[in-house]
Amino acid sequence: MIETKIYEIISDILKVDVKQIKRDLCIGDVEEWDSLAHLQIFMELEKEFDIKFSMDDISNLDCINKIIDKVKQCKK
Amino acid sequence: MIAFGSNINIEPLKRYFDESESYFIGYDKYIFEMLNENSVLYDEKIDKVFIFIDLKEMLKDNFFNLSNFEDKMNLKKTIDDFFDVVERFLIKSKKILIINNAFLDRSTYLTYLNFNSEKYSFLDVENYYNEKLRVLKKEYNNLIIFDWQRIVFEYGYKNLTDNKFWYLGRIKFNSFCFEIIKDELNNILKAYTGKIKKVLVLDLDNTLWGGIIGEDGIDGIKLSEDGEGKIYRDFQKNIKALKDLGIILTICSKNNIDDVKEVFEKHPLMVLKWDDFIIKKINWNNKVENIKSIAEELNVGIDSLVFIDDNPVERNIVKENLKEVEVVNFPENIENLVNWFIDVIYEFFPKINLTKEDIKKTEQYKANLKRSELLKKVSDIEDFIKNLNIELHIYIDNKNFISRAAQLTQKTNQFNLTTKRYTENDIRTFMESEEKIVFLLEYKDKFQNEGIIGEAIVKIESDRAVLDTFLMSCRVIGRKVEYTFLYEILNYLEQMKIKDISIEFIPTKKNKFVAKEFFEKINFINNENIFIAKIDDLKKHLEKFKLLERSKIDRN
Repeated sequence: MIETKIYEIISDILKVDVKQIKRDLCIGDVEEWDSLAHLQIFMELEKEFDIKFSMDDISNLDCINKIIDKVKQCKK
Repeated sequence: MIAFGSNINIEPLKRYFDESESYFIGYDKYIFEMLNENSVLYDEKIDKVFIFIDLKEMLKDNFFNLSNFEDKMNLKKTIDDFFDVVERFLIKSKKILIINNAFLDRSTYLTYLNFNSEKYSFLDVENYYNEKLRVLKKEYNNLIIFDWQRIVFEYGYKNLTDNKFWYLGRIKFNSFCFEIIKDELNNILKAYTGKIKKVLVLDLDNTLWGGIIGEDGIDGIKLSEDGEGKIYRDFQKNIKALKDLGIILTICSKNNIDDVKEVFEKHPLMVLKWDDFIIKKINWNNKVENIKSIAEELNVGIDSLVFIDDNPVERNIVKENLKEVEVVNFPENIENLVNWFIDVIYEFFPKINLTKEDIKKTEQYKANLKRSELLKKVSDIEDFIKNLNIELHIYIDNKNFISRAAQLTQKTNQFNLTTKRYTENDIRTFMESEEKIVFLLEYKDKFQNEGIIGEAIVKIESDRAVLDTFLMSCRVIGRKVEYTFLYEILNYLEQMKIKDISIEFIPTKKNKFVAKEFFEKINFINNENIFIAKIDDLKKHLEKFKLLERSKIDRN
């Protein structure tokens, strides 16, 4: 559930088809995932899951698998 | 098409608007784009412009320099200058301009925002800004105020903002806030799509008053200054306010007309008057037929009607037979009537009392003397740039800035000719090598020191130079900084006895506006994405752009 939602959010912000979004995708892998899109992903995740990330989180969580793990951990 | 500009980063709004319907000018470029009559803001495909101003950012570092009363006057001068630009734009462009009113974040400047200290209070600066906006609005029909203050008061500043996005990307607001801004803006834009509602069709019993007039009589219905009756009276006041905004009121009620007339004529607490309603269908006919004839008699589309009735059966009949009519569920708990009216019903109607004719009228006023004086005062963009007292400082191979230099290549997308990404190690190698030169540009004006905001990496191949990287933060673009920076680089290369320079533009999705425009302006040789020019010739070409005077090169 969480995973699907994260894929949806990232696909929505990057405007990339959700099928193209793989677990190992990282910032910079697609042109659309730039620093602004990166911030927007976290803004949207905070709202969707009602969680807060730290500034460190935002710079460290640079790949989809790391993001998924972190959100799951927060929602436990 | 709507253009977006701001002095903070509002690009997260982008995803809510169709790409073909919206255009974002880079942040902090709004003044220059408003002054520059060749800018995209004057393009005919743009019909509306939304400018979001963060007052605190507009006043910039001046906010901290408070030592006496005169400084506060300087802040007001900054606001005056801004509104001169706005007024000039309203006259010259004739576009619809949407600007927010201001709210100064109380929490950050505790002492300065102290109500009790008149000398140090900045709240009057906020008032000054809002009052200027309000006065301007009175004069120009193509100016619309975006009620940001109301949003802040309603939701609370802390719920709308997040410091970490501010420090990471100059984004002040969180997702929640951007959605509210989007909704509010769409509400304003709705007034121009033509699909707005114009007519309110109202039932009477248990809607405008409590109870049934035919059974309870004029003394039995609920309409009073206290208790449940006050709900209906408040509701009527809100409907009256809507009428004053130009919305047409009509009645559609199953009743005896004499009973109803008696209420309107004799009930002391009726807010709405008989004549407030343009059409009154008070009979025992089918409501579907009555509503149809209301639309016909008013000569409006049936889709411009909003129907309010407490009776679910009536609502369903209308809903099923007249799909175009907006039929809204009535609140189950009557105490929510007024909130429901404001949240649900009010949303159907434009909040601005503005028609296309009104905007045309504005054009006729433009001969006004005061304005021509204004146009003389803010004569042009050249003056404006001159008044900024821009100072540029160029550093060559300065290792103190290695990490900033790498970061700029990593993060800069829009004004970046080649979008080559480099690490700190790459930069260090370039700085140490003989074949590469790293130029870094520091920017300062009378408001603020922006720090290192530009970078160029030049590769030397015997007597030819190749511009490997040329990038700049978008917030200083449009102030001739980019041309001056290039010019100073050419000067430096010339002293190294280099004759030619090769400059390339590599298009990406992000750099196709600002960087491309710049490239096209400097490429006086051909129409290709790469050109080689004699340094001397390119310098002469750049001189046409009236470069900035105060720049200094530091050869450390």
